[in-house]
Amino acid sequence: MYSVFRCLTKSLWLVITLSVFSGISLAETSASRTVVDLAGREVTIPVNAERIIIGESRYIPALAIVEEDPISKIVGMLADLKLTAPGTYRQFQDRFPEIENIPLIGHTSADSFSVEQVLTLRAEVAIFGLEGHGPTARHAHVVTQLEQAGVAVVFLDFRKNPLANTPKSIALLGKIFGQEQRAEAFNQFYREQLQRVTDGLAQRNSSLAPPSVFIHSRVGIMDMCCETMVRGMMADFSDHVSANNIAKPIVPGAAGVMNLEYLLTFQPQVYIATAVGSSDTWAAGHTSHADNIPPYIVLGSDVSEDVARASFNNALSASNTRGVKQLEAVKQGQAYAIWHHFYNTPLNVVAVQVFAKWLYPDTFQALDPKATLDELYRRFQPFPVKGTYWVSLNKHPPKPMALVTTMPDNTGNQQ
Amino acid sequence: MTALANPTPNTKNTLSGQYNAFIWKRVLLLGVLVIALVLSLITDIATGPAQLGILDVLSGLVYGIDNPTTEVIIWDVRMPYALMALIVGACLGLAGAEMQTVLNNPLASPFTLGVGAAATLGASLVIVLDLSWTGLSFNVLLPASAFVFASAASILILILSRTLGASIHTVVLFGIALMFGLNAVVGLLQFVADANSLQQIVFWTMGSLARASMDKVAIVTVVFVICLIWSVGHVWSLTALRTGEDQARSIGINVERIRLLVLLRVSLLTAIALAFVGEIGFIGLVGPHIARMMLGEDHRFFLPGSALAGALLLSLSSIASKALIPGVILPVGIVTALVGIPLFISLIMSRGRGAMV
Repeated sequence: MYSVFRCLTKSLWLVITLSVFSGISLAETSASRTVVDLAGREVTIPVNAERIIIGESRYIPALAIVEEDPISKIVGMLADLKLTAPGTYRQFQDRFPEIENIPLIGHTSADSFSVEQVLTLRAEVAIFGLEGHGPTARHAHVVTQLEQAGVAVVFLDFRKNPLANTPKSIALLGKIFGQEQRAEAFNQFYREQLQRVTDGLAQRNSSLAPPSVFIHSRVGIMDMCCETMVRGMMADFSDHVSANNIAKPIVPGAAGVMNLEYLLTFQPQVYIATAVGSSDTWAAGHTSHADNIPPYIVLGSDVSEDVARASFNNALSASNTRGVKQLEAVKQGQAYAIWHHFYNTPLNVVAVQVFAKWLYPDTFQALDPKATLDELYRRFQPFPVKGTYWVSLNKHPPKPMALVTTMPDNTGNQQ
Repeated sequence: MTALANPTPNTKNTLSGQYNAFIWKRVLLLGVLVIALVLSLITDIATGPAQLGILDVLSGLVYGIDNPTTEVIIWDVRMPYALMALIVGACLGLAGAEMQTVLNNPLASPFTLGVGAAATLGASLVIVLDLSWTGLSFNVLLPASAFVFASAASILILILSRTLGASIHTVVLFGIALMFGLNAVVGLLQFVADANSLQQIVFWTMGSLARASMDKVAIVTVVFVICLIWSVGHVWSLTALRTGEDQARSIGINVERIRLLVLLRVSLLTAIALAFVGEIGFIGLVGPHIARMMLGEDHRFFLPGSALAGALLLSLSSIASKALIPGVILPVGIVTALVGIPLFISLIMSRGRGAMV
């Protein structure tokens, strides 16, 4: 008799507890708000979502800008950050060891993305990019399936139109995490730093021809010469500083492979390489090598300036990029390398300042992108900055007076 | 051939006359192919965004170049690109022709039957696994591994076509299955690859001549010349094989041995061609068909003709890949397919009534 009574009481408690909890969760889900994402879609998102999946784990630094501990809220992500920027990943891992436990819902591409696994993770919000390596705005079936399952899908963008869309994306993240003030603080910082470049350019003598530049993507990793970006991504950084991207009138899409001969004929005044390689994978396999410098450019949180510069020199000595060394810009020391991942992160404002300084060294003598990066990390990332994110080919680049005073030499006959 | 070799006395003059005409016609057609190829090569070398005509290039090659920029354009850009197209096209053309003969199948080519996919797998493994402990360079490891895997695939196809007494169609179906299976394994490899390797594999599967350099051209040329000389020793047996396997056997040809040797050669040609420029389809399929339509089945002409036709096709594709958007290099694999598919379809249409098998 007693046991029956106890059983009944237990059941009653269970019912009460359940109904209370479900009541709470109902109250939570009813607290939702509507936002407009970067694809221009109106999306109803839950307030203070606790379970979030991200299409690319390279968005973690962006999330960390608005949310002090973004990792605890991520219930699923792609593996791309660990694979493509292991140094950054390790910094997050040191600070948030539980990042290792986040289920991977795909590898490094949208094709590897598992909707079924996402659904088992009971995510409330899915954060994807307009373009990129994860599911994008073009993967309508993934979006539809997730929405039907009650997952709010929002699109960010740091890549297609990086400079215009970064503040919008951060503001959107602020709303998703209920951290509008932090988002606004970052956006204010972002606008100020971008404005410093705009102001500097405005002071410059407008009768001077803009310097010409070539952006060479993924130097050393790509077994061919010369992949470049012309729209969106880093091309927007050089556009923002009014540089003349020599590939832009030639390449029809967002990116393409330029004929090295074209570069040798219509020489750029400044050569900017992007570094996508990681020193990890190289070091792991080459511990026995005396010369432990990769044949591709390495930059990032684990790389010293000396190693970065040595790898830059190595990469340009490889047989398939040998011709690049004949570029006047390279010979005269106007050759630089930048961390490739700036192309898809709100940290991009630093890269814009770096581009400005490289392209207009006289105009931006006072500008210190390193200080900007330091401050950005100090105020908006969970750990201080370390490592090297850009480097010049020569340790002491010559003072490039000629760069801002001469017209581009397009004759192809430098000798 | 046997009839030609033992002519009856009273028809000797007519037959020998016919035979001479037969030979001369084919020598002439080979000459036409050679001339077309030389013209294509010259056009290829003369094509580029720099104001550098063929005369400048030729005088530069003969008298030396004092301008380092011009030197780079000629030796690092134009020559390797143009020569690589030529030699890789020749490798694929020859490989396709031999494969079609020994498997007695007009659809056989290194790519349709999975040999190319196997080579890709071999190369991908070298990219993913760190083999630096072997002390060998990438330029050696990549083709070597591609060759081992391509040979394994060829031998698998061979074993099936022999032991199971498989028909032509079964062999093709098996080859296609093999191709898909191997592509899937390459896909799996991409999952375990780190980002650096992944990018290399992905770009490897898209053929591009932009990764050519003169030392790679030299390696491919050496292998091609060896294979061509080796194949010359087999021309009569291969011609006999086209008249039917039983007939070939009846005149004392060891068909099994020929098949094995030829498939090994095909694997070598495919692996070496693929190792430095990535996957380039259709040349190995269409090149031999063009040669067969022009020259017939006599392998003394058919084999060099296929190599020439393959070289011509890829050389033309190379010009297109540079010239379609001046200043930009399109992946030649894309251009080859665009050039190859209409050509292939028109071949099928024009030969629709005649049996090609």
